[in-house]
This record gives sequence, structure tokens and C-alpha cells, in this order.
Amino acid sequence: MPTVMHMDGQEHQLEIVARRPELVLRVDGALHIVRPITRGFQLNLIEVDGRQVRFHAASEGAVVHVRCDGRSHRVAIHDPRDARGMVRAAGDEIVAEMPGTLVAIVKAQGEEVVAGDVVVTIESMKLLMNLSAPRAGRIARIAVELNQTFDKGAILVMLEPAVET
Amino acid sequence: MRRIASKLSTSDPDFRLNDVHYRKVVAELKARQFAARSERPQRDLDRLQQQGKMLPRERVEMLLDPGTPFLELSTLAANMDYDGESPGASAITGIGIVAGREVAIHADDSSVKGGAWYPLTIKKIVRLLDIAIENRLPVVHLCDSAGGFLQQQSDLFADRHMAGRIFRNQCQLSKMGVHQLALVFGHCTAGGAYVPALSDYSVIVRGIGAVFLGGPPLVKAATGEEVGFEELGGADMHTSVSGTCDYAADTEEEAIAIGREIVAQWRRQPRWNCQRDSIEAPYYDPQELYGVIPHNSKAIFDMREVIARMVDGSRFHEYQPDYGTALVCGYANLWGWKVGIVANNGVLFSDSSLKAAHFIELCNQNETPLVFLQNITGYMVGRDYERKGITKDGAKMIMAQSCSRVPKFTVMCNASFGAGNYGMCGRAFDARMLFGWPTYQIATMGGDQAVNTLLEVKMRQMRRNGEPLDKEILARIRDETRGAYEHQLSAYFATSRIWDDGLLDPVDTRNALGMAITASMNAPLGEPGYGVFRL
Repeated sequence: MPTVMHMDGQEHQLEIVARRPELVLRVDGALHIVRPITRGFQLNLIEVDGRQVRFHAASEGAVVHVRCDGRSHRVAIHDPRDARGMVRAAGDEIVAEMPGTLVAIVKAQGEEVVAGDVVVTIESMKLLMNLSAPRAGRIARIAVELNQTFDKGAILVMLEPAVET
Repeated sequence: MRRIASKLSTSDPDFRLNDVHYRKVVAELKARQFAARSERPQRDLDRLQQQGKMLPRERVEMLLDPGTPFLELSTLAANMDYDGESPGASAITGIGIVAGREVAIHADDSSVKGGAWYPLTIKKIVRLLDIAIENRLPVVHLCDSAGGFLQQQSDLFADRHMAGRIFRNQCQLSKMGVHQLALVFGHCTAGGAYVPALSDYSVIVRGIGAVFLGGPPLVKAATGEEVGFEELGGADMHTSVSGTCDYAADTEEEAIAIGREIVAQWRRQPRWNCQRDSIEAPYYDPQELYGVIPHNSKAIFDMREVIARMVDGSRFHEYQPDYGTALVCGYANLWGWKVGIVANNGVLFSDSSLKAAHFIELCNQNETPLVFLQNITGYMVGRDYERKGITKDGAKMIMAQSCSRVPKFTVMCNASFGAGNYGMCGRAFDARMLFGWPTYQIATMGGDQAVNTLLEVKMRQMRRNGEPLDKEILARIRDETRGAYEHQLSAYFATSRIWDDGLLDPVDTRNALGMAITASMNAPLGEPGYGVFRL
């Protein structure tokens, strides 16, 4: 899975092909061999495809500023794992994972929601919990009345069936 | 480690509302702390000035290395006891840096009733010495106390953890090879005389310091002998005749200078070899914690948002992110120290309890200190959950936590109810340090639950006895129980009784934990091993 690297506004694909015996990177399809150079304490000196590269790097939050060959670059790495969404299947219902009481209805029957919108609030074990829509759609029915208790596994909210497009 | 991606927007109306609310909470905390530290009746300040004495806090300031932090403990002890007559429980305790060494400091607060020890004063001093024992921290005592507050003698003298425990702990520290220094700025009478006598080193100030078992009035009453305090137990007598104290000083400043020189002679404790990386500030500003904590204390919040504003680089390696999701477990660095974090994201179920037990065992295997972030309303109750063994799964978590050999640290972030308090390393489970946020609530159960449980019991009793349901009695039970609960739930009540080591502005949590973890590295790890896990 390649990592996405943003450098000076340009997007690059970065992939580690091998770590041993030496570091091999694929950058935008081209392979490069990277070796450290141990010379005293000069840690900011590496060899890229046989060429010595001296660099300085300073990080500022998520962004790293790199200076080499007399130019400065702004680099940001995006971990592909961060973009991965929740793996749960998005169903048509919000089901109670524990017994409790319905204390607020945020989105009423007939309203449009997008995935993650808070639809109802429940109280259980002294905690208020917001339950959100599993996917985009329209609320078909709120199945429990306000201030009514429900058991574990009860269906609280139903969405209108998804329309095939 | 990957950075936590915050899902909060600082421009969200809820975030802004929380922020406004919590800033008020923190302003009140700081006002109360300021009052406990500094506000004293003018006559008490005048009396100290007449005696030519420094204020206790000025002594502490002068003792500490310039520019170094001081982690003050239980600043608001006794704030809801003794009608507020004993601010800070009449003592200053904390961890600070003296001559480049971490030391535990105990200073009697002579600006309150001559520094007399209330029951909570003794609890506070004993707690500091327990901290010194657990973390192998040398102790500096700044002595200036009139002795036990006699009106309360039955609550401060005889029991296991009362006054005698101070001296017992002093002996244990010395036996462990942990140094103690006493600086005598006032009269150390009766039991108080043993604080310098049991310290490895002591310095006494001419003219104001004195050490004796019975002061001049008591000697006169007992034997008729008339003697002045300098002659009976003053600096020159003790440092040149009796050998009870080691060094005499002309002024308090000189005593402190000699004391600093003594501390500088002490060998540094070897540190336990814990993993440490370079330090990185959190990526998300800790100030944003004010917007993270909901203004409605019942509303749930994602503890990852708290972790993101506490740990180095906001980086967190989450363990079992998709299992037992009501509990968040994972590794992070805090001021460079590797820690394992256990944080509540809701009620504890069987799966989250098992996850906790497993993660705690991993941290023990990996010699990683544990940080517990409590927001726990309890273990789940009900028929289905009992059938699945919620009680025995909770017991596994408590067993693993209780038997941990790595240092543990607890922060009461919001709720701390019922057995959840136990599983998440409440006070009884020997966290090296336990801090609370000013809005935390702590009790066996919530106020509503307590009211309803008691009403249910009372109604059953009435029915069993064939009595008609007396609505008046029920209403009285409800009001009394609710009133008592609301009063006792609060963080100020808890910290008054020293159920924690002090209340923190949430923004300071990272720093307080950093100092607590660093201090804990002075002591070796505990014995490995667990009891029987009910499987």
C-alpha cells in the first residue's frame, strides 16, 4: 500500500520496496537505493543512488521542512491507514447495544441525514450517548417514544431503504 | 506511532460552549487554590512578622532550585472540613528540585493556628511520606508546628495511620537508605520533636527554633522547674550539648542554605531503566481540553481527544482498536517516557474488562508504567450481562491491575462510580499519584441510582410489613439522599478528604504526570506475579 507524500503542493506516491540489505524506495514508479553514511556524527548525510546528499530537516507539526541542494521543501506524509474508514457494514437501522432510555430525538421522521449525523440520544448507566446514522438516507421511523425504556438489541431508528443507483 | 486525528472542530458551537464553561470551572479552582495558599487573617501574618519568621511558602520557594517546577499536592485538603479553618490542611507538601535532586517536601503552615496538626494535616503528611517510600524520594521537613490540635486529639493520635505513622514512615525511609533533612524553624514539641530527631540530618535556627518533649509550661506544671525555651531545647543546647540537632543557623535563610548544601551531598538514587525517547510537545494544544470536556457531566466524550492533548506529538499506538471499544488502551510517550494508557469510553462490559486485563499484563511484561484516565460510571448491570460473567471479568481486570509491578498513575477526568473506580486504579489500589479534574464526581453510585435504590428497598419493606406506602417518608428519603449525594459527589469534597493528591487544571495534567512518572523511576519495580484469575 503506497503512502501519499505531499511535497511543495505536488502529490507523490511513496512505497518501501525493501528494507534489507539496503533501503529501496519506489517514488512515483522509479526505484531508488538509500544508504546511510557513517562519518563521525554527521547524521544528516545519506547516499541516494550512489550520490551523496546532505540535508537538514525540521518538523513543524505534521509538516517537515527539508533543505537540500540549496532548496527548501515542504513535505507532508499521509498514512493510508488514517484514511481507512470503519469496517462495519452500514445497515438500515440503529440498534441499541445496551438497555436504556430514549432521552432526545435530534432528527425526526422524514428528515434527511448523512452518515455520522446524530439521530437520537439515549441514557444508560448514567451516561448520555449520541447514536448516529450508519449511512446517508431519510429517517423512516423512530421506533421508541421519548423517555421510553428499551432492551438491548431493540431497533431504535429505521432508515428508508437505500435506493439502487 | 501515529498521530491521533482529532474529530473535533474548535469552531463547533458545542466545543465553544464547553470551552466557556470549563474556563469558569478552572477560574474557580484557581481562586480557591489562591485562597488556600495565600489568604490568611491579618493577625496571623502580624504574629509571624513579630516573631521574625518567614511565611511557610517563602521558605519552600527559597529551598527550591530557581526556575524548577514544584508539584504541590493536595492544595485544597480540608477545604470542606473544620468549617474551612484549616486551609490546605495547615501543611504544604509536594515534590520539587533541591540542589539538582528530586525531593519530597513537607512544610508545616505556621500561618494557620501556629501550624497545629489537624487530623487531615496528619493524613496529608503521612501521604507525602508514603509517596517518599513508594518512590524512594528523599524528604525535607520544614518544621514549625504547635503540635497536635488538641480539640481533635481522638481523631489524630491513636489509630494505625494517625500521628505515629509519620514517625514510623520516617524510620522506614531511613532503613531503606532514603535521606531525610529537618529544618527547625519553630517549636517542635512532644511528638513533633521526633520529626527532627528521626531525620538523618537537622538544622535549627537560633532564637526561634526549639525541640523538646515538653515545653516550658508543661515542665513547670509537671515538676515545678522553671526554664526558658532556649535553655530547654534551643539551637545551641541541641547542637553543642545534647546532639539532638546537627547544625545551628542564625537566620532562616542561613538554615536553608545549610540545608541545600546537605542535600547536595546525597548520592542520587539509581534510576530504574525505563524506555525514554526524545520529548515532543503534543500536536494538539492542551488548552483545547476545555472544549473537549462536555459541560453536561453525563454526556460521553471520546477519551482519544483527551489523550491527543496530553501525550508527546499526540501520537498513540492503540491496542485492539476494534474490540471492547468502551475502553481505549494503547501506548504513548509522555515527556519522553513510554506509558500504557487505559481510558474509559463508556461503561465497562465483559469484552472491555478482558481487554483491560490483557493490556495491563502486556504493560507489566514490557515494564511500561500505566496511566489510567477515569470516566467510568460502572460495570454494566443486568441479567444478560451477569449470565455472560460481567462480575468475574471485572474481577480479572481488578486482579491484573492490583497486582501490577509497574508504577501506576490515575487521573479522575469525569466520573468515578462503583466498582469501575476499583478496576481503573482508584485510591485503594496504590497509584503512585492520583489527580483529579475539578469537575470529577466520585461515589458508590450516581445520586439518582442511590435515591431509587433506597426508595425501592423502603417500599418493599413497607409492603412486607403490610403498611400503606407513606408518601411523606418516601419524599423525605428522596430529598435527604439526593442532598447528601450532591454534596458528597464533588471533587472538592473528595480532595478535602485527600482521596486524591490534588485537583488539576486539565491543561496541567501532562506536566503533573511527567513529574510523577519521573519521580517514580527512583524506585525499583515491584514483585512480579498475580493471584488466581477467575477464568
